[in-house]
Amino acid sequence: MSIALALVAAASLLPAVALFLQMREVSTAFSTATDSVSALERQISPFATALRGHAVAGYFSPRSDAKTDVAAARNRFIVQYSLAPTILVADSTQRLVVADCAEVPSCHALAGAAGLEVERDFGSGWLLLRRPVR
Amino acid sequence: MNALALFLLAAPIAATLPLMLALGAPPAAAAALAVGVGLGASSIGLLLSLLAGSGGLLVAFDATVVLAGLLAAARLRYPHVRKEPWRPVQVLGCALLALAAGTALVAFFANAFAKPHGEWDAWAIWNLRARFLARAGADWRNAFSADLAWSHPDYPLLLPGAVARLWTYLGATPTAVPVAVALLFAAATAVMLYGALRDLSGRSPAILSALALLGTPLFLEHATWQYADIPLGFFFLATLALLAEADRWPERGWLAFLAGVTAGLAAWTKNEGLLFAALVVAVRGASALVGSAAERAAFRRLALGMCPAAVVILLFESFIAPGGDRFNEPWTEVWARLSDPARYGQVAAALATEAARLARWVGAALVVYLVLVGPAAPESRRPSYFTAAVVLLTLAGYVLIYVVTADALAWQLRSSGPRLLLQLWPSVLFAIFVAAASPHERSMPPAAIGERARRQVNRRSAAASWRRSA
Repeated sequence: MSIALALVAAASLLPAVALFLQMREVSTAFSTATDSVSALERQISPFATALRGHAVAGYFSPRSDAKTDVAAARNRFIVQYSLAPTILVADSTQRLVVADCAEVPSCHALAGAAGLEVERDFGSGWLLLRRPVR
Repeated sequence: MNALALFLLAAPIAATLPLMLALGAPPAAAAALAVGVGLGASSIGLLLSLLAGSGGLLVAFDATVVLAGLLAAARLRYPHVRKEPWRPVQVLGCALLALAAGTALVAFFANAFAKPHGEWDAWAIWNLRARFLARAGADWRNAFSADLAWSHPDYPLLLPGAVARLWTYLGATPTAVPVAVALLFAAATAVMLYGALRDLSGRSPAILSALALLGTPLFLEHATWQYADIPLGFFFLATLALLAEADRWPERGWLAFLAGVTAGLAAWTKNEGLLFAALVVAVRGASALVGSAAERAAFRRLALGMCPAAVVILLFESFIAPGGDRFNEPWTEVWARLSDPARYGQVAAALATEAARLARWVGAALVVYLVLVGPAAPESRRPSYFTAAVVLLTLAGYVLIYVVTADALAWQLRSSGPRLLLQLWPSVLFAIFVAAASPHERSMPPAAIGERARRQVNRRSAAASWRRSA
């Protein structure tokens, strides 16, 4: 009987032992907000103020197609999560458009070709674009 | 998290606790139930206030919950406590449990600090919805826009509602709130397992079951990820455990009502909860049809308990949730998948692999434990039959859903298989420890077991007559 009790208890405590061994090796344990969602949210936080009061805005990323590329889709979803309650639609005909142009040097030209003007450049490839009123 | 946030989080839980005790839940289980039912009620309060377009209604709803709790506390007389002397091995078991709980807390906070938004489903579904509900003001219906179809706006709102309620009061959206809610549900699951088994089988199985749950890495991982599968698993366990207790002690019949409440809240947490609640009704209804008057009365209370959540789900589906397109597929295509034996094999193999990964060392130890201690006495293990039946039927439902899905099956199994099994894991542990003989029961001679059972029956009769006279 004692064997049965000891077995269940020992098996249950294995993750605890593993955790302590792991934490001894990992120097970043308990470091704050090191994940990709937090990092991206910090980057694009200035958009939140700029988009305040706008229920819908466009989302423009010339890097890849968010419908087929998981990484691009993930990026777009995180941006949506960060900028809620503004709804981001994959449509550059909106009045305000959030552009994710990291690693795309020709983004300004692409935006211009799409008939958009740069409203603000937040750095790291993040642009707020505006469609001029005609 | 500041003092105001803590107070707002604790208020519905503290107010619900005396209600749980008044309805016959034993103290530990009542504390766990207060977390689930309190947070569930708070999400319903938020939804009603949004529908009514009045923040005042949220305050009035919360005030009503607190008032009901105070009234219940004032009338509280006899919380059910099973008396059992402490044994040295149980003291050691409790120390190990405290160690496991402490380690789980360390792991939880280490992960929560690093990933305060949780993993994919947490930020892409639950916390996203909560942000819309708390930040959008009068435009809160934007949370269910067709432009957010990728975030499943048709999913029920218990988790985002509970988080958004606090954020609405605070006027800000700190990540500490969903982290705290995730921690509360994970802790409540372990406490519910302990509390129910403490009542039904004794302290030793209760300690071992809680140890086994906290020793399941996938459980801790998903708790820190802020996934809704942990609250759902809590409501599954609570429903099955409460029904087991209601069956064991017919004089505490309102536990069946509470089981109805938790089954309803399961359906308000995730769509899998709808399947679970329907199965609980079907199995209990079938058994009530051929059963005794007491079973029919318990079924009526179960159905009554489900009503509040059923009304809320109906409101949500009728006035808020966008229509899905999952049933628009031609039946011929669905039938082609349904009649393909290879798909069943693929699903069974994947789920078996995931189950082995979920249970790991704990599963292996439990098999040896079962062999060594053997089955409990027939009367003691009876509740495990109903639990096992509902768990197996729910699993069968999941298998069928996988078989008919039009999405890539291998990807679906890989991404959601572990989570679906995790939802059932606390209930499986409950069934195992109810079905197994208590270690001390095993070490007693048969005559002593009979004597103990007789004393238990006498104690129940005494409690029942005490209640009648009170």
